[in-house]
Amino acid sequence: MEMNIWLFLVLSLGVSGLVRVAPLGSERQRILASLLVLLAFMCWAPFVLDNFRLIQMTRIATLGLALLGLNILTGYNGQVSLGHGAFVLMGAYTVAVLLDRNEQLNLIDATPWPFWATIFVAGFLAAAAGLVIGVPALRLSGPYLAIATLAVMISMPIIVRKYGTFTGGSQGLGFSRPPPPPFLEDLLRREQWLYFLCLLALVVMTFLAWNLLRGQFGRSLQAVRDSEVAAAAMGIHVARVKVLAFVISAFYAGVAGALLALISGIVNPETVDIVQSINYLAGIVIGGLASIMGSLIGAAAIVFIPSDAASELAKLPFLDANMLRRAPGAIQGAVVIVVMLLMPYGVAGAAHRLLRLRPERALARWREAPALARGALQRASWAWDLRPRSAGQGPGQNRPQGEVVSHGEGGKATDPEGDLTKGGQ
Amino acid sequence: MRLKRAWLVLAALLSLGLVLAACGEEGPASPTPGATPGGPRQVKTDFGVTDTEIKIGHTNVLSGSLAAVYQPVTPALQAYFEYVNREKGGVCGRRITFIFEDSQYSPTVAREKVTKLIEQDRVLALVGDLGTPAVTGEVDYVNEQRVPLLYVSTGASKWGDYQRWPWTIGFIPDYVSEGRILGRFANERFPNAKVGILYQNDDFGLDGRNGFKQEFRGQIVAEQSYEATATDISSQMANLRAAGADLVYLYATPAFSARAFQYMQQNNWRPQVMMSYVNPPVLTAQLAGGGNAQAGLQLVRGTISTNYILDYIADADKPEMKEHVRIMQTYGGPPVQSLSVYGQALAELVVETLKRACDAGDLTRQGVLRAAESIRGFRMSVLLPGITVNLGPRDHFAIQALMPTEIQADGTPRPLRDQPISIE
Amino acid sequence: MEGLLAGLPGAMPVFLAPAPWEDWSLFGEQIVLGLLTGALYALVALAIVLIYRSTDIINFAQSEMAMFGTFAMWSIWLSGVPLFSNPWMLLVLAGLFGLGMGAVVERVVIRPVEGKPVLTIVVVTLGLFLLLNSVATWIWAQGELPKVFPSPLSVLESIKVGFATIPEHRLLIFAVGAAAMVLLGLLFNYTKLGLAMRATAQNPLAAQLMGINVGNMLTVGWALSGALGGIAGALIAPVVTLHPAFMLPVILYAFSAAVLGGLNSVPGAVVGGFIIGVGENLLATYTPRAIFGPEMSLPLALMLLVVILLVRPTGLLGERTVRKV
Repeated sequence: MEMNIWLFLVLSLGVSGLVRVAPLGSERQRILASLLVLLAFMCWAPFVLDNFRLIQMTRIATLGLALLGLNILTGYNGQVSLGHGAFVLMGAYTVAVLLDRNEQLNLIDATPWPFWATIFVAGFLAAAAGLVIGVPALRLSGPYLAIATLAVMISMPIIVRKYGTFTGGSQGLGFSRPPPPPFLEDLLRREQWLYFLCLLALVVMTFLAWNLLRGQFGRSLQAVRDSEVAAAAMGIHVARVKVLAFVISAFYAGVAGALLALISGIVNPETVDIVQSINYLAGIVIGGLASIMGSLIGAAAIVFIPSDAASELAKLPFLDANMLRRAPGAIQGAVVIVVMLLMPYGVAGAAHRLLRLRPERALARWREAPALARGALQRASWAWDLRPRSAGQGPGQNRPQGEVVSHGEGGKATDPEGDLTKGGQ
Repeated sequence: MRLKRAWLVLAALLSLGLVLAACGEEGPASPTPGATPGGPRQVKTDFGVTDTEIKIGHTNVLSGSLAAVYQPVTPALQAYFEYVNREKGGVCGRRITFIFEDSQYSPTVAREKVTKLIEQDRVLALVGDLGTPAVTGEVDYVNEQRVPLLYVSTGASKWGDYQRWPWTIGFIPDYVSEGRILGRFANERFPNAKVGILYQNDDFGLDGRNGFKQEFRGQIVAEQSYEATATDISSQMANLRAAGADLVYLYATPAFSARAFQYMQQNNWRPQVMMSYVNPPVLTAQLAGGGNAQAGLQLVRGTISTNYILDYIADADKPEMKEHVRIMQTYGGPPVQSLSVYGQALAELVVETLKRACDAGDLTRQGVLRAAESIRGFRMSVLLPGITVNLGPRDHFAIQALMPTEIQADGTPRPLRDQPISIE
Repeated sequence: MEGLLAGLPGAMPVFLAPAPWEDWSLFGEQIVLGLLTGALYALVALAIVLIYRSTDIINFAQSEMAMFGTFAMWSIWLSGVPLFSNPWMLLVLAGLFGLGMGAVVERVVIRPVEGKPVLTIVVVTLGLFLLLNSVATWIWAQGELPKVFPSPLSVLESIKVGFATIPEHRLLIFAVGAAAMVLLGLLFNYTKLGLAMRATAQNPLAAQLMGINVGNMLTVGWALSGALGGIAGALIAPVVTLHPAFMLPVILYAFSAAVLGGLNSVPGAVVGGFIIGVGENLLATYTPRAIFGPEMSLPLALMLLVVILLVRPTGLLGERTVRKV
């Protein structure tokens, strides 16, 4: 059975969203239940989606990890990095070198590496690189850090291409993608197996991140972002927090890069370039800064917008399909700008704000409507009531007795205009 | 019980989403009726062929900074196929449905897109895919799936490796071949020259340089390279001059070739120049002259280059070129340029391949590959006289001949030999 | 049949330039050429410094704004109106167009995010970059690339200065760069407007309290930078030919130049540009390919940028600013 991807996504997000807001159980139970439902749908995906969409979903999973790392660094900790792609590329090349070149270079020993080991190595190597970058980054702030990371990101593919004995130069490195383990061989195709691999990695590392971020470390991260001086005054070791943010985000990026390599089977200097790195940043802004869900949404945006925005928009009757299909780049740029304008807090932020609306109050006002109407009629009845009046009743006095009127609560529902960095959870 | 409004909102959105998703389709555009006189021939089919249409796929870099350079190939292909559909009744009595995707010049994305083309759209074959990194990402999967990847639009020489990738066939003369042809020609004409090489430091330039060095037996006094991101190559040119070169082998793109000519003019240095076919002479002259085409042509005159397709400016009066212009303009092709001529050449070859498969009664994927491999001595209308396409089970390069030409004062290329040099 | 070519080894250079002391004229020529290229970078670096000095923002979209303006000028040139076929006129128009574009961008795109955290501004300028690039590609890049763009002085005529020949057009770039530097220096240091702009950048609140219309200052800063960028684009296009990505390599070197010289120093931008231009040439000529070679000139310039940011963020000629909490 094959299902249209949009149908599938609407179904999975819708059902889990409904579970999230269903009036049953406590808040925590609802959140847990909705996440489990979403996970169940994602496990069902490989069996109902066609190969193309499945590969896309796999790529979303890996990018989600990368964006999660970037969000930790930039969203939670406020360090703007345009060079995140360098860590991803590093992770990808680590895997490729270990799987492709090992025999030639006799690195550790000549036996081929098991692929899962390479993922760990990639992560830790990238984390080490994060340390190397993170320490000097302490001296840089704001746009300076952005420029410096931009510089690193632009240089990396050139350096990789030039010193090619190790990295395969501009040809890159190729290897065969890992097959499913023996006990799953008959049940899963290779694409399905890779999807589950990435999904597993995503779930595990997202859980780790969630744990990390909701604890003291997460609060330290955000405190440093909001005001370094105040954070230091409260006893937070600012330098350590900032470097750790780099290290952790690099680890996530390295793992993401490793997975990206494993699912493609080929790594070359174009695998991640400066455009991709900028896309990552755009992704977390669209998805929602300082938000785990936002990172995943951003990953989906990065994959689906270039792939489908043009063809979906072309279905609108007043747009010329041919023109649109020939210039997908312009559409991507426009979509990014439009999303950023309409949802400055990202999709996750918008969803969060939606959830925080106080429907009870709005409903309460609706319920009051008949009573209010009656009161109004009563007040106006003096016009045809010719009975003698006592003092205190009449046209001048229009406050009905004994009625509760709620005053302008609606104003509080909107958040005060604040920083882009303060988003949802 | 608290009735959350969000619950209602989400339920409403879910229903709306389901309705929209159900209405939307992911399939390819349904074929519009075209003239099919005589009806479809009965042939063996497996994928992508019905009684009314033949589906072929294509990827190109359509977004990103490189898109501006390579993008026109796609609409050129599209226009020619539409011309065949409308004026020639299609192929094998069926309409050609051309489905193209954006590879974003990335191997990962290209692989995704061909997965879509192969598994979702179920195309018969892929044609003219462009961008070496992109095609590199596609090629293993395509061969695994046994889908013909025909007439790859990159000059990398590896697409001819029929043992590794039996389902892949290259198209344009690859840069190594051009380098070799120019090297052979230099052996013929300039055996005693002191050669200085200037090449772009990427696959394109390296291939051209390596090919030349493979064949040329004379003396190479200097080699200089430049990055595609360089703003100025005067420094490299100065080095070539200081080394005493009297023949400059210029494996560069038009923007940089133009600058090389400018340097020569400014410094009153007039070596013989050989340049790659990727430099259309008139465009290069215009660039070299800084907008003054006349002045530029004076600089470019006498340069030796190679050709395999007609030049859209120099050959504008030829009937084939006029027909090309008409086709492009009538069927929504790009503004006429060398890439559009290239696109038509490729499209003509595709149509010929499909015709042969149809004549053999086998319009399956395997049949199409066999048909391609059976082509010998075929000429597209926009090819230079003397250049033909020859393919075979062990020959997966479509065009391996180039005509060395000398650029005249009016920008037209003058053939320098009776026959093109071929390295079949 | 063409087999796979493993690629001939390219590590050994066939030509390594003789050491400077053996061939002074080559050395001298490389230096002069480097200064000329450096003038290119300096021009764009000045635009970057201008925005930074007046609004404290790094404009990542600088290159695309200039590119957009240059393409617009190209369309005007092609329109065939006699007045507009004069390249000098195009240069002036490029400046005016850039002026307008800078002002519009500031009002529409940048003003809403003034004072917002750094990430917002970075993302907005990057988004602008993407948008301008995409739109320019959509509008102008359908035909053959690269396009030809005329220059006021011939790119072919040159003037002999000692052992080097300098193309006229490059001399023009040099002259414009020098003039821009002088004018900007005068503006910032000797006029009330310049003083107001500097005050706005340093402390917008205090400036406002002193009666300076902060909004207008920001607009003026962006407008001037846009004008400079437009002129730079129109001058650079004849050299590197016109296509949607033509300003990108220049902007990277220009960033390095601006940082090297000091992001808030006008003469610094020019000095930085020259240093990078000359350094690039000397590196390409005198280092063996196997170690560095010309392909590393961009990464090295960028690494230099990073090092400068770490070691001496205010650059060679910049002033130190102390941020008070």
